[in-house]
This record gives sequence, C-alpha cells and structure tokens, in this order.
Amino acid sequence: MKCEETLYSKEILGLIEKYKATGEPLLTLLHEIQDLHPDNHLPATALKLISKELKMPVSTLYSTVSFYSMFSLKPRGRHIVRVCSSPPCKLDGTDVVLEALEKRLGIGVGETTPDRNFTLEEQSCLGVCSLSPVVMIDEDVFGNVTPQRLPVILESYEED
Amino acid sequence: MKIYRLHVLISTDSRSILRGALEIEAKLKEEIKKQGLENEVQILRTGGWGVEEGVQVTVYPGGLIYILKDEDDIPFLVTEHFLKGRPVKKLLFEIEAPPRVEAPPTVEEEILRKQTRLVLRNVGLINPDDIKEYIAQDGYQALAKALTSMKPGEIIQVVKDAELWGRGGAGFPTGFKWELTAKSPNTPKYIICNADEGEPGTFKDRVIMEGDPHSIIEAMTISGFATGATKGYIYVRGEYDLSILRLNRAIEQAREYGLLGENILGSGFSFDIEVRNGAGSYVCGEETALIESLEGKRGEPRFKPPYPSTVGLWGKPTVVNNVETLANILLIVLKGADWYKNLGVEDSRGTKVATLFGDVNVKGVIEVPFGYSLRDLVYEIGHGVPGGKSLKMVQLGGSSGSFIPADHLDTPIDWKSLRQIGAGQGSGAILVLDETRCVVDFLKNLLKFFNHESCGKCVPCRVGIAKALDLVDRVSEGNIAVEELEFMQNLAQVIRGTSLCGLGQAAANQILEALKYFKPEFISHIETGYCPAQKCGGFKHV
Repeated sequence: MKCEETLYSKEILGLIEKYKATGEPLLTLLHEIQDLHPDNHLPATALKLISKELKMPVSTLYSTVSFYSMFSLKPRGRHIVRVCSSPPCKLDGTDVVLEALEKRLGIGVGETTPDRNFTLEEQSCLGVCSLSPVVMIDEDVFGNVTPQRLPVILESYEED
Repeated sequence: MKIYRLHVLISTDSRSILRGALEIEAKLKEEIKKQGLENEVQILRTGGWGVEEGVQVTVYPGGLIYILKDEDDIPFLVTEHFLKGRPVKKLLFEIEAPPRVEAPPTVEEEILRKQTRLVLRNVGLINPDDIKEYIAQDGYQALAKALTSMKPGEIIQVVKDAELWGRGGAGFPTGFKWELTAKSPNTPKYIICNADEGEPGTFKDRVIMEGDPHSIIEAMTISGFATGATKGYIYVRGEYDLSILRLNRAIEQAREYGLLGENILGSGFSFDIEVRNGAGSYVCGEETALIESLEGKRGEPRFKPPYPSTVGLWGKPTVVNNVETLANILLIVLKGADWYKNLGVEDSRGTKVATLFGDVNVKGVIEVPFGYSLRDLVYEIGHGVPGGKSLKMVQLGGSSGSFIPADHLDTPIDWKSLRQIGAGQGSGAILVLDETRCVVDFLKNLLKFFNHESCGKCVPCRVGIAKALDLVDRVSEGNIAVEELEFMQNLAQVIRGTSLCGLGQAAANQILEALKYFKPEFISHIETGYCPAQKCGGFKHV
C-alpha cells in the first residue's frame, strides 16, 4: 500500500512538473491527475501535493475543484454514468430513464455501487439534443435511451 | 494523383458516430473492395448535413444523399449505384412528413433549399482532419489577404462596416469589441474563442468545430493580427471530446503548414493557439467567468465594467468571441462588407445557425439569413409538428432564451423584431413544444437547471431561484393560492433587476414570460388541477 502511494505521488509530481514552468493551466492539470487515480477522483493527498508544488493554498484548490461538476473529491466508480438532465432531455423522458437506472444500479444520483463499478451523476446539456434523452458513460454517448435499452447499454460496462 | 469515378462522403460528426457511422464506413470499404471498386470509389470523412437521422452518405457526382441505418443494405447499394450506376431509391434521404402537393426532390438541395450556408459552407463537404481539403475550399485565403494586403485598422473597419454582431447570445458589435482591444495600450493581448457551448439545446458550435475546425483557427489568427494579440485560447467544454480532438489536430496541421506560429506566411506576424478544456460549468459560458476559469479559478463572473476588451485574461486586453461569430469573419474579409450586408435585414446582417428540435418532424442544424420567420423555420424547414398536433410555443435561444407563443410565430428572427415582442434570439436553439406540453412542468425543469448552475456569488440568483423553484413546485402540486402568483412575478422582477450576470436575469425571464403568456395555465393548475401533459401532481388528486 505504502509503495503504491509513493508511486502515485511520483506520477502526480511528474504531471505538475509539466505545468510548473507556466503555473497554468490548472484545470487541465486537475483533469489529468483525476484520470490518473483508479477511483476517478482527486484525493486530499493529491491536492496537498499540488498545493505544495504550485505554492497555492489548499483552500483555493478546494474552492476550484468543488466548483466544477467534472471533478470529484469523493472516490467514484470505474465507470461514470451521466444522465443529461437539461430541460430539452426532460421533455423526452429523462426522469423515466433516471428512475430505471437508479433501480437497476441500486443507487441514487451522486452515489457509487458497492462493487465500485458505477457512479451515477446528473449532467447538464451534452449538445446532442436531437437524440434526447441522452446518457453518457465514460466517454461514450448514448442517444434515444429508453429503460428497455438500459440493460444492453450497461452490459458492456459490467464486470464479469 | 489518383482520379476516382465516385466520391463517397460519410458523415462522421459525433451524432452520426452514435448512429453507427464508423461501422457503416468499415462495411462500405469492405464491400467496395469485395466488388473490386477500390480504385474507382473514394471514401471520405466529413461532418454531417444537419440531418438528424441515420448515417448520411453523400455520393458525388450527383450529390445524392443516402441515409444508411442498416449495414445489410450496403452490398445492394454498392452493386446498384457504385457498380451499375443506378441510384437506390429506397435508401435516399426523404423527409418523413405528411405528403404535400409537390413531392420533395430527394437530393442535397432539399436540405439546402431554404438555407443559406455561409458559416456551415464546408461542414459536410470536407474532411475536417485534412487541412488540404480546407485549403482547396479557399481556406486560409482570408488570412493571406489580411496579412499581405490589409492593415489591422482596415480589418477592424471592414468588420465594423459589415455590422457583424456577436452570435453567442448578447449580440455585441464584434468590430467595436476588436477596436477597444486594439486601442488599449496594454500588452500582451489575447484572443479567446468561447466554445463553452453549454446552453441547453444548442449544438451549433459543436457542428462547426467538428465539421470545419480550421475556419476557427483562421479567424482567430486574423483577429489576432487586427487587434495586436499574439496568443489565442479556444475554451471548449470538457464534455466535447471530439471537438477538442479535431481542433487540436487542426492546430497541429496549421502549424506544420506555417499558417500558425512564428512568422505566419512570411509576414512577420506571429500567433499561436491553445485548446483549453472546461470542467463542467454552465456559467463559464459567460465571458468573464470563462476568463476566471481559464486562469484556473472558480468560474464566477466578474463585475463589469471593466470589460474584457480592456481588462481580461490575466488583466490584459482580451477579445472574447463565440465560435459562430468567428466563422463569419472569413467571408467578410474575403468578400467585403457590402457583400455581407446584402444578407439579412437592417440591424441584423448575415446568417444565423440554429438548431431545430423538439416537437418537429425534421430536426437538425440549419443556417438561414436573418429576417426568416419562425413559422417558416418550423413549418418549411422543420416540416411542421408531428402527429398533426398544434404548436403551443417555441423556446428561442435555449434555456436562457425567450418564450415565443404561437401567436407571435410570424415574428422574423432579427434583433429588432424580436426586441419588439420583448424577446432575444439567444444562442439560436429553437425548441418546439406542441399542445400536449405543460408550461409549469417545463418552467420547473428550467428553474431546476438554473438552480443547479447558479455559481452562488450573488444573493438574488442563489436564493431567489431556489425560492422561485419552490413556488413553481407548489403550482404543479396545486398547493398554492392564485394571489401568490403575483409574489412570484415580483420575485422574478427583483432577481432580474439585481443579479450580477446573465444567468440570474435569464432565469427570472423564464418566470416572467411563462406568466405573461401562460398565466391561465398556472391558474388552471391551481384551481382545477388540470395539466395538459398529465405530469403535474395536482392532476392525480382530481
């Protein structure tokens, strides 16, 4: 465990080094560090490291990270299921899809399944409104989603 | 160079890929090879035509558009059309709408018949990943003209003369913005392309970035030359993976060709562009919030003035332009202000790219000159409301846009006419709602969205929207007195008058417009529990 942690810190330091010269862009750096973590989030240890290296108070970092919906301070699942909840999708039945998802995964919005496979999130407009309602899993977007289609969609992300 | 007999263009924008464009492409290639046509038929990737159905495959010569949904149709198509030269009627693009007296022609003109494609001129036609195709369509000509034969002041003048107004929603004159930055003594200066397209229902910028990314790069470079900026940033939403990928590829190619970077085209002018990703925040589409976010902070709007034109990124003069605004620059520089002013109407020059969706038969991304009426858009280009229902209202300009009820449908889309009915055109999203939709439920969803996206900096927006949402919730449950609607209206007026940025003002506008046009529906919810969509709680208790 200890060894894993040092390895992780080393990787973060490598990323910070890339941006240290200019001190920016912070958001890109945070994206990359978040992607690095197996639990898809920014742990306190990472924030402390960034704070030390970039000479930036942890509170400032916290305020930035907590502002954006794509960053998470809590550990998340391997796959993030984002349901578009903007008004155009709501017209076409996002609520039914969300309800079916919650039932199937057994979790509410913002929660992670016990096996750490899925995290369910609400997402603002994904810009594919002609295919509403829309669900995005990791980087794949699914349009015209119905509760009937969900098992097929989720299957490929489920662990054996 | 190989000469092909047929050119087959496959739409590979993100929405087409969702509909299986890559599988269709692989199957087409396989079939063409099987039938020994690989030296006669060339397959190219392009953006989409803005048709929201299947994968669009365009065949030149002829410009026939096929809509492919099933891989099994491909062998037949290849044999019939590519080998024997007989178009396959059953796969051709047809508009599924009630039949009309004159049968619509099934060629590319059908889509483009009513449209004027300037900003989208290359989208669907060229391969966005190949700079050579862009150059073949007069790409980088405007840049060459600007750098070699125009002075910075002349470029600004021509943009001013063309009366180009910002297309992001606010409609600020672009030339004036550039001039303010150009005149500022502070250096360095920056150009920011606002590609944080978060307005619900808007995906026009995505279409441009995925279909014609070089046009943004070229326009930003011209803007840099005109204002004296040396660095540009394209701030793209974190969710737009494909746009980010294609823009980055385009930037690399432009650098390779000497069209970006040091000493562009030997003119001595240097300019470079970087793509920056957002991280999921709606308010970052507001220009000062976007700048804060670019600086790596919380995306909270700044107090204005000073405006970014003089005090922007890192406190330096900064031009912030929307993707679509920038895409207009090229033709203005190439063809001149007089030519450009021929398009559109007084006070609204040029064209508008709009996204048409909701309860219409034909959804899609379209481009028309200003002055086009909403009725024509919905009934001519959109082919009407499905199921023979009647239209209740149109929401113009996304969630922060305006309600246009059916009686105002003949209003032309231009700044002046819309202002007369108290509306704005916003981002160009056109959401059509039919008679079975419930305004209260719709407003509730809008307010939920704004409540979630409010950054929390100013009180009227943070507290006011939450309060308003509570009131609308109670309307939908029928658990409110009719007199309280008055209070809701007052509350909305206060939010509109005192919010720091457009987000709070827009949220309040939704409430005010819903009450202005659909107050009887609110009252019937309260008094009888009747909801046209049978969605609201009160209905169940009746």
